[in-house]
Amino acid sequence: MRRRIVPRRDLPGGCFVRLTAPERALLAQLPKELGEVLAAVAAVGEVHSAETGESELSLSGETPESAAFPPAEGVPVVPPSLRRLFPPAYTGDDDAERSFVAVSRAELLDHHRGALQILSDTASAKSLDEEQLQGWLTALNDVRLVLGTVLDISEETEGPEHPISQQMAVYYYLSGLQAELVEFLSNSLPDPVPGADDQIPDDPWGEPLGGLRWDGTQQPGDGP
Amino acid sequence: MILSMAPGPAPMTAPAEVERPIVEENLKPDFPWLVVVWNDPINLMAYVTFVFQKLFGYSKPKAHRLMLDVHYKGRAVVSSGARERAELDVARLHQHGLWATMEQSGT
Repeated sequence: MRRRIVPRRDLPGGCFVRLTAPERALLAQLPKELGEVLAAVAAVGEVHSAETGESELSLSGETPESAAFPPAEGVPVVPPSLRRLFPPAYTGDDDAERSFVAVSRAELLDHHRGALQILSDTASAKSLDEEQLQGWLTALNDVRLVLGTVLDISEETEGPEHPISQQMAVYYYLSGLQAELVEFLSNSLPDPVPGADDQIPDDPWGEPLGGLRWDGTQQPGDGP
Repeated sequence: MILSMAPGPAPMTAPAEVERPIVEENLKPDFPWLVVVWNDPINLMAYVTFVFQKLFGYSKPKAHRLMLDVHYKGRAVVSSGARERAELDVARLHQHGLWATMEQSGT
């Protein structure tokens, strides 16, 4: 397939972006849609009661029952479709989780919003620098995380079916574009930090294949 | 030297009320905190590898192995250290859309 992200020799870490007008129109629309859903999460981590507008991609849509941990007592709840953007840090300690959210939620929200802003500002740009590319990567991944939550993507989900829904089409389109961004950005990573690999053992728990899922249940398929 | 710094003999009578949570907390301050990344079906495998390289300075083979652990075993410890450091790592992983939690080892 024709490459959409092409290195710029005259700009280290930068690239040319070869996208069609409809692709750019979609990329410009995404920050608006996700931004509206994010508006339900206030900077201090409280949820506004204001209704969010129904977006074309239904990013605020109904989500299937979450298998993930229930939110800690007293931690502000985020809209279900956003749960992957605001995951818990502590799962067995509500006090610690409340403190963690209190100090980190605003920055996390800013991070998501900042990436969406970059994508919004540069959706029609012919070339991107490294920082803008990082913004695209985060923004595309955020949209995929929300779409995947709404679509209930699981390990068993097999490729796009026909006829394909608009949400599903966008999800797979973004997956492909994100893969190209990852490949490009991987090539401009700094050298590994000496000794970093030795900080963590490869398999501290010695667990077999098919271990635990996030919610403590067994992984499907190749479990014991 | 070491002996001279040891606490004196225990009092003959045990205190009636022991604030157990605080005592237990004080007994395990040196166990490092583990940052755990959990499998999820949405994040791309290459993206997860990239994030581990970017955030922790791991080599590509190391980051790839950790990603495979996450994918096939459901979770992997990707960093460890003092509590503050672990919270920072978890926050950075959350900013990159990964499902990261932390827990203290030895508990």
